[in-house]
Amino acid sequence: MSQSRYDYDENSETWPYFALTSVLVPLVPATWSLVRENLSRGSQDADELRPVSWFRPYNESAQKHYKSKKRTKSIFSRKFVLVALGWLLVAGILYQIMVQEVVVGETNFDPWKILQIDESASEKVIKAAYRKLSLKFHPDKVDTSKMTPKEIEAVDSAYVLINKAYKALTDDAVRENFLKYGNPDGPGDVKHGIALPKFLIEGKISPLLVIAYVLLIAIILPSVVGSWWNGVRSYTKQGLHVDTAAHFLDILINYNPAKLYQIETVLEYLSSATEYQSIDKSLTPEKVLELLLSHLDRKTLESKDEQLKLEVVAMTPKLIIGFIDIASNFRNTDICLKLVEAHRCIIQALNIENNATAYKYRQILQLPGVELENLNTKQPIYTLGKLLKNSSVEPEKFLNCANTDEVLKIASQVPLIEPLECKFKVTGEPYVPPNSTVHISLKFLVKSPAHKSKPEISKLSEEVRETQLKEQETLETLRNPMKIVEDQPAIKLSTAPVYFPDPEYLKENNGWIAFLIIQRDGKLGESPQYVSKVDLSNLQLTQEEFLESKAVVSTFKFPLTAPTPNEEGKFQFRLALRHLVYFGSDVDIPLVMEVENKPIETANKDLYEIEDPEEDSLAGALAQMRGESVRKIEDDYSSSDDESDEEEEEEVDWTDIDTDTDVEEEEKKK
Amino acid sequence: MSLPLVYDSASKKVSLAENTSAAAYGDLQLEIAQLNTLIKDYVNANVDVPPLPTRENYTKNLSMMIKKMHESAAASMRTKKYADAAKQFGVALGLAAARPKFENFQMTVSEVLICLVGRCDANMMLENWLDAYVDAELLCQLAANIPENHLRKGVCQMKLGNLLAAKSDLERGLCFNPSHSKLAEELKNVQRLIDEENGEL
Repeated sequence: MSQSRYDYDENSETWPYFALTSVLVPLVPATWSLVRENLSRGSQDADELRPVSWFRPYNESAQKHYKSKKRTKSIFSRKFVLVALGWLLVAGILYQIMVQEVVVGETNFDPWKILQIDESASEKVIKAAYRKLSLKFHPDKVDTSKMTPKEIEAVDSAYVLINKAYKALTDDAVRENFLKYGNPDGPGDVKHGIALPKFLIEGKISPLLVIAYVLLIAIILPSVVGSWWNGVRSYTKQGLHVDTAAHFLDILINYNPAKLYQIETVLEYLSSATEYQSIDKSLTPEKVLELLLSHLDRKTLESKDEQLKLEVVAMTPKLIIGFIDIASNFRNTDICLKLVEAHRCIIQALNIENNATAYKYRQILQLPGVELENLNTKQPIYTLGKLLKNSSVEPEKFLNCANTDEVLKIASQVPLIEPLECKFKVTGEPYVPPNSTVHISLKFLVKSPAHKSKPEISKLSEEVRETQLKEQETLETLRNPMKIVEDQPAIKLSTAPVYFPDPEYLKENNGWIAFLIIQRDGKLGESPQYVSKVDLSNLQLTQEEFLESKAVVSTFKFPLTAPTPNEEGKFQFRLALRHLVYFGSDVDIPLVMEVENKPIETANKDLYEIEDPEEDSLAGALAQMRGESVRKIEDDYSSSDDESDEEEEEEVDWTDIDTDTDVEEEEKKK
Repeated sequence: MSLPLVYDSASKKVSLAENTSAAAYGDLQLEIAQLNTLIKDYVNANVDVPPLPTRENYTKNLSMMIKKMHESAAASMRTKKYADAAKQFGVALGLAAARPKFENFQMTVSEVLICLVGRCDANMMLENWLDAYVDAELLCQLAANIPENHLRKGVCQMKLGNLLAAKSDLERGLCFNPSHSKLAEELKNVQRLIDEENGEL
């Protein structure tokens, strides 16, 4: 055996394992992710947004069609097919392995198998087996007269093997060789095995194999990596196509402050997005705008356009969010606020621009089943609050729609924000020092439009006041001030908006978006934040319960990336909260950031303040004398305080002495 | 990239080529108009290089005319002829805005502001809220630090029915002068109206 010799896998002993490994390595993770996706979808189905069952929107059939299409698409995805094929392949390989008999040869020497005995067999059994087999296969005992030379050779080699196996189990030297090198002959030549059958490499197919290999390395691999990289590069971090992002950027660079930006203007900007091409290549920006406007007007189109319209509509909110993200980097308040308005209009299918009445009644018109034609527009009921609490006429007579009770119920589930306290907060500081990391802490009550006024803070339950209104400053909250926000449950809409086809999207974008506006120039001070975790349980309370201590307080924190200004002073801001789905749930809160510098130099003043604990410790001592064991820890505490006090007092003494001597010296000089 | 532009050497003006649709080149038309205005002002200046935009080179005559127009408009205001006043303020505004573009911009803006304030107030007295709002909006953009401008805008928003916007405008005005009593008063009004609209009262 020369060094360059290769052992081909003639008996198919190794390559099935090789193939099995290379199939399983990508297949198992892919299957896992597929299963998890489907599991999570299954659990999501459980908390699916409740659709409004009693109202049939004009586009109901188109919506159903859209949803079923989306569902089948997600189940029979390309990934699913690939994974299924992969498992078929695995089954095939496993079958191959099962069927394949392992032929004992030089390469896989197994003395127990050769002797047909158990691995735990005793020496006696080994001997007996050897004797039996050697009798059977001994060249002299076998009748070779009718055999071909090949068969004779096989019998010979079998006898040799049996001998070797016996020696491997009994002879110490041979046994050592076997344990060390895996065969009884001791170290053999280094062999290179290839997990491929010989015919693939040295047969007629070998040129094909070479071609396949070249294709894989030179063409398939680069093109796959290239297309993946292109895919990564052609989308921004926010999931916008780069061309779309460039288009939005272009609009913002050429922003004209003298121009009036309307919802239709921003929709026109959005309609040029490249993403719409992925729905249908034939979609022109004009067509997209037309479809969007027909959605706002709640107009039915012919069936093909209707399908296209819903797909365009489902795509648009994501683009709007991406546009807001870019516009906020330009600190452009006008466009951002207009985009939020457009977002709401798309989701509620409401055109509030062409018709002043529709604009006035927008809060009412977002309710399912309410149409402008039927509305009694003589009544000045513009808000949900007025409708639910102080309606000038019976709601039935005002709305003129079916199921008034259900409509009112849905109206009462629209969450409103009742701010309790909003301030700038630096973690662990009672004031806002210069150059510090600050966040806005907003404490608010979620309130139904049916609730009147707000509960007095003193009426809130003790627990709510202590834990939700006043935050306890533990080590954990100091490290992560956002924790109290993150601990709140995620917002879930009570009912799905009836005209919007994609409830998946509304599971995540269903809260408020918060803009921080600088009052001085009216521009955005920070990137917007989303209010997505809020306890909405207040909505279920009755008016009495709401006012009497049952209400919970929610928290929203807006972290500022920029540090507070370097100099002291007052800086005015406005926190604008805009609901992404509902009209009429917006809040604007004026805010003043009061940057103060309380320098450490005022240590003298502090000294006088520290003297107080001394009294405390006296009180502690008294308490101890009274024999109150509870105070013990406090005593330790105050005694340690005492020590530090004494130290500081000593310092004071020193300075006193110093000044005194100075004075004396001066007097002496005089 | 070539644009469909035509230059007329007689009138010294650039214009869009005739066979192009004006709608497709909205932005370009704006820029053409700006260019033509600049060229016109330059030709009228009748010098090789327009004089520096200093206080001395500010056309006093025009200022006088604007001032006179403003005075007569103010007189109309006093006699409660608000419609006339609005028209006269408009004329004064037109004069101020048409000042040659090579002159001092800061002084131009202050003149424009004075006229705009007058027209806005006249429109408000006429209860012509939409026009007044447009003027107020412009005022807030040109001079955001004057609380009265936000007062004007806030009142217009309130009258137009945008109570929430009115509230935030008034609050913004208060940032620039927290002790402005009129602003505070209107803010209270707006808050009352908001509560009323929400059915709280």
